[in-house]
Amino acid sequence: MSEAVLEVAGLTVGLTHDADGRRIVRDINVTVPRGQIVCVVGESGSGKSVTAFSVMALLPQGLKPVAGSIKLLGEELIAATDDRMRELRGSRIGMIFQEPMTALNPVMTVREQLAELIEWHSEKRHPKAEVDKRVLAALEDMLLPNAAQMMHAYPHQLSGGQRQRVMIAMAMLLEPILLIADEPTTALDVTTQKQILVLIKDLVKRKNIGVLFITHDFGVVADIADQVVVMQKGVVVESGSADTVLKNPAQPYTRLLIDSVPKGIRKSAEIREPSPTLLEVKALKMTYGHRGFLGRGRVTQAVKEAAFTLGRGEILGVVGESGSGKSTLARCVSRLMKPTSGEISLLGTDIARVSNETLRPHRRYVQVVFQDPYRSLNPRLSVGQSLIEGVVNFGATPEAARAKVATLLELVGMDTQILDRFPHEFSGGQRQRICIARALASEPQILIADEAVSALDVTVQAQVLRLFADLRSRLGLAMLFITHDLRVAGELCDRIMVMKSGEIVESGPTADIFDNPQHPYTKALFSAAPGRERLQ
Amino acid sequence: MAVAGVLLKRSVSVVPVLAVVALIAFLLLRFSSGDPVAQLAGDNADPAAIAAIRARLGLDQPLPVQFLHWLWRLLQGDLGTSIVSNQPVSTQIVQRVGPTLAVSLTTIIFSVLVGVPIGVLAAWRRGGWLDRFAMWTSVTGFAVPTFAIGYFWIYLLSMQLGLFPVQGYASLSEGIGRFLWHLTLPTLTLSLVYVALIARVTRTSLLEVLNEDFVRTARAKGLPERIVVFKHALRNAAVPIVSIIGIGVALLIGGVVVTESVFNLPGLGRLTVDSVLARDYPVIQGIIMVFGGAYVAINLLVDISYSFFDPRISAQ
Amino acid sequence: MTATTVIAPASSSVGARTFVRKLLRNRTILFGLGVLALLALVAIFASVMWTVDPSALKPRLRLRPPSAVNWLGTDNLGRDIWSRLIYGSRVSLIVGAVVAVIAVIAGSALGLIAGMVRWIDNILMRMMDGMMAIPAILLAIALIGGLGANLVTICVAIAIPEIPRVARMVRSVVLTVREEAYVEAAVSMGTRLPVLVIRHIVPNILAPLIVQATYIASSAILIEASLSFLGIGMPDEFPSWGNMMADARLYFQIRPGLMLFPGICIALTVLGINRLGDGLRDMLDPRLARSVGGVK
Repeated sequence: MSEAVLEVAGLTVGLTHDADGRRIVRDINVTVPRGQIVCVVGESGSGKSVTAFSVMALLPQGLKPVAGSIKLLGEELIAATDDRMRELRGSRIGMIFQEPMTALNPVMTVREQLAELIEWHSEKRHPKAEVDKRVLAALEDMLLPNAAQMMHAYPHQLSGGQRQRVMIAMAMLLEPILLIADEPTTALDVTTQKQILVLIKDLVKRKNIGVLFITHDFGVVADIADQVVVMQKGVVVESGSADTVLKNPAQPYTRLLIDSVPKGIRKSAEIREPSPTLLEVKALKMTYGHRGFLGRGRVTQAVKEAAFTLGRGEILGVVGESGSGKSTLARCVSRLMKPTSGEISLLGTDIARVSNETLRPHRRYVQVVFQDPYRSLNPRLSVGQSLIEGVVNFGATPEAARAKVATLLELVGMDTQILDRFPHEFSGGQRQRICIARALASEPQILIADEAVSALDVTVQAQVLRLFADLRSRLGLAMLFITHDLRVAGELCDRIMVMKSGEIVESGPTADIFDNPQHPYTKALFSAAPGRERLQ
Repeated sequence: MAVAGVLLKRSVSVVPVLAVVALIAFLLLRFSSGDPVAQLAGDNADPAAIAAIRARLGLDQPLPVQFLHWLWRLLQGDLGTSIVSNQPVSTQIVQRVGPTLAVSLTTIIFSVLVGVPIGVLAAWRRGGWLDRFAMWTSVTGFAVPTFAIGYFWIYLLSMQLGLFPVQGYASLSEGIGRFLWHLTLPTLTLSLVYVALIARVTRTSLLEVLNEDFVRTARAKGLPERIVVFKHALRNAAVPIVSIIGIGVALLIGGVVVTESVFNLPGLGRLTVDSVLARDYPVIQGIIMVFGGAYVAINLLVDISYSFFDPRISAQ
Repeated sequence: MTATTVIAPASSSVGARTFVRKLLRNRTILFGLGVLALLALVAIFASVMWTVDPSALKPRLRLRPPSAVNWLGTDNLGRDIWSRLIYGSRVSLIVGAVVAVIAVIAGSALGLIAGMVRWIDNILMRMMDGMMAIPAILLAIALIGGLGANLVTICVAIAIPEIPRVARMVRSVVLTVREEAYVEAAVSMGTRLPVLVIRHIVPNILAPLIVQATYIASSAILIEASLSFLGIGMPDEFPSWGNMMADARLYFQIRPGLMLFPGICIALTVLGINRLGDGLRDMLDPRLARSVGGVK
């Protein structure tokens, strides 16, 4: 094996003022060789980011390394002075982050943000022309188009992918030997993610650097890792070469993580009979008008001419990247938003543009499960109060409603004794189950899941997906399943619609879409899906 | 969008605000107790004479018509005539605006020069002695009435130490030295609250910005801490700081009215108090329009300056 | 996690009890509550606090130094300063409380309407912008000039300029909360607007409203004092701290105490209320620190 760039041995991080010796991570061993990508994988709370920030000596206030060693090319970093660490950061160790929009300073141009690295990491002053040249070269190296113009742009004028390229250009500007990437593609669309992963792989090869890559996604691991370190609750559970860990994981937890990655393959390939139509959407349009001064202004066509039907017991997936209009479509169908024009025929009644008062009795038939389980439950109401709200609205007495929601909690796999507890006592996955129970309380015909599993850890995500499939077969529920992840849609849906820029570019039975995608965009989505080759 | 376009758009947006200010000023007179006409006509005027004056002033018209008349004259720069002095209100305001403008400007300049650095240092050395000192000064500063602060300075700096004149005003034509010498105590009086406000907001917004991701990036780039704070964080905290300077103008004007009374400055604040005591409504209306207009204008400038501090705002 | 939710006491009785316990453990809040309680006691029991008639004139005992009879001396009309200070607390407390109540009720009603009904929002907020363009004290002076000065008109005149500030704050909270997924979930479950507002929106407004009410009360006390000082406030014979300081203007070179004692009373009262507000703000939601930073 080649020379080790980074050696972390026995690293333990604890609280600065710690009374009971709590440890955030314990006895971490990670080695990053030159020319290799080492992925640290784990779910939220596994301590993977704490490990990365320890290397940078940028731990959040209140945390400090209490044991172990961190060596960069043999130099001990834990004992290093603040000044020495500052010298190393940015010059020998580069770092990129999850959210490139917030990681870049919004009021400084790209050039300023790169140039200051050169300025603060050398003794002598550099002439402006030379700085410009180096900045330009670094940007061009990241394959940024029009790098000369982009130098003078502000972060908000760039796309998400461009911003992350700028971040990488910045991290690589002074030719570090170690790049730390903390979930660098999590906030990006899948096609952009693919490009960034390719770029990082290419960098490793060209510059012979070591990369410490933090991620929660085994699909990404499968795409780029040379070595894998699996973490759970602050300890390393397994590590080894990517091939070994992916093919023959030694630990059940690793196996579980790998199995939980959606592969886009239907587990039950039952063919469903044609069923009565519950919902028919025709020529649905949603236009956001920013009517400006004097009647001018921009108009955003979030949804252009959408049309589809949904039958009883059917799960229809709506797949698209950010800005595709998929969430707007969901909000129109659930009438959280009034569409600009078109028809939404729900059980024979057009609800597209009726008044709130007319709409109210129809609302019970369509219920929504939202993305963020932490914001979907009123923190001030007990679980029971939240759950019975809908039932009571549609005429039940509170006592009858409580009895009913207790059975629903059982249905979604929750204890029925939790009615008097409050949302903050539950984990994200548990809250999402409570939200599903709430949605079911009014006996809906259609459930709209708007990115309902995106915020969940991968193992929890798999459980909730199973719950949805189960509910469909037990209750005959129809679902509109909105997601950015084609693989997730593939696991659950009977039919899939692919949306791009407000248009439905392709739709059909899941098997057809997977086996024989027609539209170039659908094909692009497939080829971008991480872990496609190695995890099948 | 071009700068001129933004300017035009923002300027147009203040028109309704000014219209509301005008409406309030107008309604104040109509709904006040006591009949201004009776006052104008004198104690022994007969009803016929009062009716004549009423007709002459257009007060027999319905209220909306009166408002439009009033607005029309306002647009031509005619603020009416003082009941007491019979001078045009605009003349009176022009005569008295000098001291008010002077003390407001020195206060704004002084407060920004002192308040922003205090706020930055307090945030940088959070929990340090300066932070605690600034915190307690601002807590106390907010609790003491402006006029009491004024008398405190008079007692300490004029009566005990004899450094500054107790009261009075010297115009700029009497020499800049004398001018500033007379303005020192009023400025110190008015500034305390304003400095406290600016320092507080600077500290809070800077601390907020220091939690942002890009500050972490700046540290990950190995920049010295002072560069992280002063270059990366402060520039991002500029918008709330500038906006509190604008909002604080309302506070400042309120303070000016009181301070002018304490130091016997012949400005608009004194004119306001005298006019209220004399029930000289046209003058009060005029002053409301002037102060309201000043507030709107300053906040318009503040609004436009945002795009200078934050490139994202000009893009909208 | 919960980026905009204001975490506040849960509506159960258990939550309320822990909330009270938390209140009493916070030194800032305790100080504020202590000052307020003391003042309330003084105001209520003013007549038995070793006081005499605060308006009784004794022209022969003008500007006396402190003595066994007049603990803090007498003013320029021979009135007992101690008694005037004690009775003056009534004016300040009443003005602070009444102004806060008027401004909060009117402001939150307007803010709720503006936040829930879009077409009213525009008109209402333009009106509020216009009102906010006129400095509070100037508007109060003008209103009192029109209405005449007594306790009621002074309270109303000080409260009116505060209404738009409350309305704006309430409106912005309503607009934020309306975007919360749990409110959307309630909408899609067919919850009616009044229930929606009371169950899901009002509890979020309560915390910032209480905080703002304390700031309004303290600023009202300062404005009342300023008005009295300018000669536009409570009638002169009325024992109010502002009036006492106004009377002291001509004599404070000989008797600084005439200015000092009421000044300390005002400062202590306002300080107590402000600390209460600061403590509640930090406890209920640190992010509020900026939106209601406008203290006078």
